[in-house]
Amino acid sequence: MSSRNPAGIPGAAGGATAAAKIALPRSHPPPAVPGDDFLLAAAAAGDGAAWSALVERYLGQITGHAWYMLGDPREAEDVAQEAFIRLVAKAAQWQPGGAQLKTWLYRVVVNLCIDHKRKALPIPVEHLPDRGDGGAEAADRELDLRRSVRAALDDLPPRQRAAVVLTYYQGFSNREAGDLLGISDEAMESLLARGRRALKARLKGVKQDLMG
Amino acid sequence: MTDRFGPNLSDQALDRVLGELRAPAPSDLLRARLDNAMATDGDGGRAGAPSPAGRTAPRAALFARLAAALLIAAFTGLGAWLPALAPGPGSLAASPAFFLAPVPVVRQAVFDDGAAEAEIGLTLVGGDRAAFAALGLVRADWSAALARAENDRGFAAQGGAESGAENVSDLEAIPLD
Repeated sequence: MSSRNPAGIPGAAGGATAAAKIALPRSHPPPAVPGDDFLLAAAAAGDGAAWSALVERYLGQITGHAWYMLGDPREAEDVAQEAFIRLVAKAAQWQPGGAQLKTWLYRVVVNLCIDHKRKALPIPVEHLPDRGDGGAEAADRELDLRRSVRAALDDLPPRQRAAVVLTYYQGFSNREAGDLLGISDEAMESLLARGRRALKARLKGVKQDLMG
Repeated sequence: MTDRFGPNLSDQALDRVLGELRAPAPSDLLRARLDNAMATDGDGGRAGAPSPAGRTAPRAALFARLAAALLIAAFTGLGAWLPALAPGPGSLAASPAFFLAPVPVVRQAVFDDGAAEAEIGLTLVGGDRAAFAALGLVRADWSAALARAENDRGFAAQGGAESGAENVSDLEAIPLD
């Protein structure tokens, strides 16, 4: 799938010969860093390299978001996969200049995660990535801390969790996160405040460890 | 930053502890699945349907997957029951829902007894549901079963603690022995 590169993606091969196969205006040469709309149009026209570039651009972000929401890597990957499969189905009808692809993907993932009815099971140790610096005692303490954070996050109601994850881990502004959740700025701020307040209450037990 | 909540963490401390949690990177298997997603789902996997320019034709792709699945089956002890299977009007290959379902739903639906061999086979083909659809592994009212499975994803996504078999009881799962 990566042998052709009509979109001119840096690092991908075969761009010059295959470019003519893509129905994109000649007056609009591929940008140095192809935008999402450009890549999606190329992918819908059969450009595997463009599709791979889109996957590479967003897979980590949306899988990460799903993991923060669900707590289980396999469930998170299922959700991410589902989002991309929906994108495949939508690619041919995608309107450039309309909704941002990133926003669309996140909205799908947010909704999939919130709709996920099964409460996440306790997270086995191996599901928490090892950060691996320091000795055994430090590692144990870090693991305990991460376990506590994970459990506190999992205890939040889904929409509060989504608000915290979108703003803290994914770097969205309150307005952007509110837009993704379909709520007003004020409602978003309230949701986020409640989420953070609940996290503080649940995590106060780790304060000593953290400060020590 | 002041702590408005007495003995609880301050905003700053909360940000620090939240920062301890780092999401794992997506697996290579997921990347591989998604790299094939455009080819697999662009036409719903139906043989003979138009395909994006320059791609392997779906019919050829299905034959290739069929060959791969047969090879895998031969090595995983599934060969004994494969000859009894054939694609048909009721097979998953005819259902777009099959291609849109999360892989674990498919895995659970097709192999609701969680047979290790089937699991291995599925993994070896990279979770490629088209290969299994091509084989016609299951004939059933897939859509209804899928809807129930989606409503209560009770499949064994957490190591088989919950079988979720009730979600797919309508499926005519092919015996694995």
